[in-house]
Amino acid sequence: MAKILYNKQILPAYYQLGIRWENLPTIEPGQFVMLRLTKYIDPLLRRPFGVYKILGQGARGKGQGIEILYKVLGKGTRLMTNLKPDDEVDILGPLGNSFSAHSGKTNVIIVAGGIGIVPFYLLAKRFKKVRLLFGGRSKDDLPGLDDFKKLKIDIEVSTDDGSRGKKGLVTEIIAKQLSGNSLIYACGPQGMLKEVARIADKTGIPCYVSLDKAMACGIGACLGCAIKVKGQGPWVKSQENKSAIRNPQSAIYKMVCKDGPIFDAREIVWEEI
Amino acid sequence: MGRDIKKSEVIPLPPPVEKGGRGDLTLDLSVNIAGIELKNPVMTASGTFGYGEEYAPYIDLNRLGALVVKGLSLQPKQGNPPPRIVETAAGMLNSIGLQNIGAGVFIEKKLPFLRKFDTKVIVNFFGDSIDEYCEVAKILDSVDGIAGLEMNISCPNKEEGWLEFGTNPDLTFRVVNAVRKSTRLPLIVKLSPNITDITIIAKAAEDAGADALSLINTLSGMAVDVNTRRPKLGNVIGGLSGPAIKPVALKMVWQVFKSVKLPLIGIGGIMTAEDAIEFMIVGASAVQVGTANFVDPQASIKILDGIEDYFERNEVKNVKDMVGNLRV
Repeated sequence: MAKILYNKQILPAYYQLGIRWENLPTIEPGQFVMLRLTKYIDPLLRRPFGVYKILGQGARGKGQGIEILYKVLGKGTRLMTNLKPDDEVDILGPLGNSFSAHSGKTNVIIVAGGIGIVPFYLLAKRFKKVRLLFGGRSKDDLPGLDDFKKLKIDIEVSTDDGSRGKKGLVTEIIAKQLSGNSLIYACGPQGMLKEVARIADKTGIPCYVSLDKAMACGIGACLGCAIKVKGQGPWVKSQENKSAIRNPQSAIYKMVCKDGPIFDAREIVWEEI
Repeated sequence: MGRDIKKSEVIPLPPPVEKGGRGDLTLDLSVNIAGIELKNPVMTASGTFGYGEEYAPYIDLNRLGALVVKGLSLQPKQGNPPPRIVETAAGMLNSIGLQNIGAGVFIEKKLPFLRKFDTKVIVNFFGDSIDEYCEVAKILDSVDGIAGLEMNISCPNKEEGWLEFGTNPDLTFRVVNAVRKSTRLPLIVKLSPNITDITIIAKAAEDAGADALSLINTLSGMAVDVNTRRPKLGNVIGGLSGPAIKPVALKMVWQVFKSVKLPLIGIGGIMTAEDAIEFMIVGASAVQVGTANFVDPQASIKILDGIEDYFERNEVKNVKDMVGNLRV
């Protein structure tokens, strides 16, 4: 059991939850934990949450806890808003894989939509130079923006309603950022990810996406969090747009919890996400 | 009152009476089901425990009475399109679609790992025709390290208009009887609750030569998103599991206990030792822990510890004494 350190509301629908974690294991950017919110049977299942920050990280990199950044969406997250310091939660993790880097790809671009910002605080700290393109419905859907400002990285903001940054979708500001040595990391709503993947594919830029699917166990046993990926055959040039594809006949399901949550965007069958 | 107690000498309290603690030989939780000697009655349910290795980092597999691996078919199976799971009130719906690596790959890639543990491995399997059932049973029959088979009969039969085997007594008899002739391994038949009278199917399985019955499989169900008016599962319908189904499962175990002689394995929403003991009281000789494994990877071990405590507290000598001792 892990003790709650703090649970603070940062925006109308977003909270930052600090959790003390004895003997904190090594956590890589993009990994997640499964939280059990009550001892009771409603809600029954654990919920996956990306690790937003490592807390109290000293010179040797040993942390004392983690911070979860969450959006109030349903019954479970509503219950979470009642957590107080010294309350206990059951934590399972860290789970899942991490991001890959590419040598020579120095123009690192992070594309985040709303709560999709979560995996990128730890990731952004791994690069000397990185650019964040952060989109949300309104200024109230840009959680953690202040944290990223403190990292002193380039940030461009867009909102659907224009209440902060450029008015429009975050995917509309990607194109002008791209160059031959670009590398994209993206997390956010499925529509956004699809569009980012399309742009990356068209321009031949490597792109990694972090996915979220309903899951029961988080450890590869329930097979609930399936996504369809292209087969494992050799890459071939597509007839239509010359992009690299794998034989669509050999598509298989992969599990977001164990094979992901980070996937090469080219791997995913986006039509069936 | 009024008696003279001065005659008795005051002496110090005697030391605590030695009672059978955990691991003490006086507490015997072993149970024989279908000829499989289990060290205790706690098993993990098929489909909730992967191929065992997924849980090895979290629990000591050696402590389990048995583990039942994810259902296997002759060929690997892809499973259903997502979304595949959704939480419902005190339960979950799944439409995984029996995704599995196939019997051959299981034997080659997964079984060697399981052989390292001192726990019984029971292999759940299924088919979409009687021939496929028999063929899988034959493949599994010839390998070392498998203690028994559990037949999932809640599968559609492609030869009979996709009618589920386990919903029809004649089909149940035919498929169980054919498999019985294809394997020497102990044969457990896992019953579907999606029928009018489970005792009819139970008797058909008994008549066909099953060695034990496990029940219940998931209850058929669905959930709808009112905003999109779409089903919450990619397959539209799925199977309900978890605490929500426990009362239904208990009733069915009790009914079957009264109507067949075979040993029963109780399944359905077992989250705690108390739940497990309820199943024993209505007639289960062993239990399978399912959805609880997802909630807490250590659930099966905690349930086992709790059963030991209950047996000690209530001076129950062995599992047999608990089975079917419902006071009605």
